[in-house]
Amino acid sequence: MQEGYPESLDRVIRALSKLPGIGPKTAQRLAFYLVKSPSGELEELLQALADMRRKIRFCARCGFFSEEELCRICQDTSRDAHVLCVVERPQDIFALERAGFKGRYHVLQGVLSPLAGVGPEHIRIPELLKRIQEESVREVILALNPSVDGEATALYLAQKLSAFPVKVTLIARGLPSGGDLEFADEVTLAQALEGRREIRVSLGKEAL
Amino acid sequence: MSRYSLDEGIVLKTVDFGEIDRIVTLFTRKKGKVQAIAKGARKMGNRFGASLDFFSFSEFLLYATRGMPLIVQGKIKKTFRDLVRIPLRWMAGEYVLLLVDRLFPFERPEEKILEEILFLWETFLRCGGSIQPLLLRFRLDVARVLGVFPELLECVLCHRELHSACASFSISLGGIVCDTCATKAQELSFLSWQELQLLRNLVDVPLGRVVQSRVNSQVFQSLDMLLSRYLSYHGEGRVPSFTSFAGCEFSW
Ligand SMILES: [Zn+2]
Ligand SMILES: [Zn+2]
Repeated sequence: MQEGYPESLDRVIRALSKLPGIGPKTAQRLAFYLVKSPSGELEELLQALADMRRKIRFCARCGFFSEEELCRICQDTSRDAHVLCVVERPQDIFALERAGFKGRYHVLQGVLSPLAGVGPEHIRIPELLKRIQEESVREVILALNPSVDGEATALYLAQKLSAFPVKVTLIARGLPSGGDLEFADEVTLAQALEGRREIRVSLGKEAL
Repeated sequence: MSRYSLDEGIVLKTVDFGEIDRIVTLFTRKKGKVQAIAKGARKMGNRFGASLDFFSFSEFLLYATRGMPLIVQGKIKKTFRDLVRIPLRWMAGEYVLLLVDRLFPFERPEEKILEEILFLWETFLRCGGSIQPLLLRFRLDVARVLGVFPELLECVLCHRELHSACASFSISLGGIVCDTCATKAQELSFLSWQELQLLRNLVDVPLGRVVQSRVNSQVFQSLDMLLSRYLSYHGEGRVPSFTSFAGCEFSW
């Protein structure tokens, strides 16, 4: 017990400080707030947590958050089933949805990382290979983080997927929007050069 | 004294911190192993670029605080990122980071080790030969700077030089033990004459020529295991052998 808090309060502080990004100071602040919180607010939070605990699971097919066997994206028949986008974590899907992606997803739940002891059997690579065999996928887009381990994982997957009749693409790396070229670091610029694409010019009369 | 300081080095490890920050363990020329906070490092298009990822040798501008220093800026001086293209070398490149992270105490500068890592990465990238001798030599050099270099010439108990024949190796006594003394020592590992000779050669040749040494895979595995156990015993923390780090299930 720290600084003489009553045991129940101390337990809440310790439990909160285990959450990612929450240090002991923030945990204390949150706990003090909860103690004083208006009636009903704490009950609502407890109910919401209990509900989430009971209902949320990972989609049996893609690994996204879901309240049913299959998530809403996998159930949506209007989406393009030929294009499969592979991501590291379920929360990456929100970002891609905001960007307007209309295909389906596969969550790996991590990337290969020898330093963290993560090998191919620890993430959802076998499930991915199984889906490629069973579903009518024509293109696999690897949308992994542009980290060293993310890239090594993408290369590993590309090699594994080369055994199947699917096109494998990697989302473009390189220059972020905004900023000046002269300040780009060599890794970013090298990736931008490698990922260059042909500019198709179609000048209509109105453009002239 | 200014709270800003310039240093150069590599990243050993990063951990997400808060919503957008990272805690980065650096290995720098002036400070050795040091932890620092990189504000906003998880945001896309942040000012650090790839300087906070593995396999970049960068210049860092640090700002001292009462707690961990802040990384204000990171500028890549050289990148070895293409190591990801060769799976076994990507893993070897990360393996040396694990060794430094686990075996060295904080704030103990070891420029020679930093230089050697850069040399290793360069060689892993450019050289078509086997990287196994370098992975063994690096651990011997780590043992040397940690002040626990194993005795490979004479018996640690009777100090008789060993010129031929197999020897035993005692991890706790820190070196080879002759046949006569072997009965007095406990927990010995077997070391064939070939293995002992290889270790001696690896120490003697200049780093640039280590890659030309030949190591068969059985000898490598046995020495790989022995050196990891040795460093685990004498260093700050435990380290796996490269063979188990790379994982036998990693079949490429
Ligand atoms: Zn789904
Ligand atoms: Zn002896």
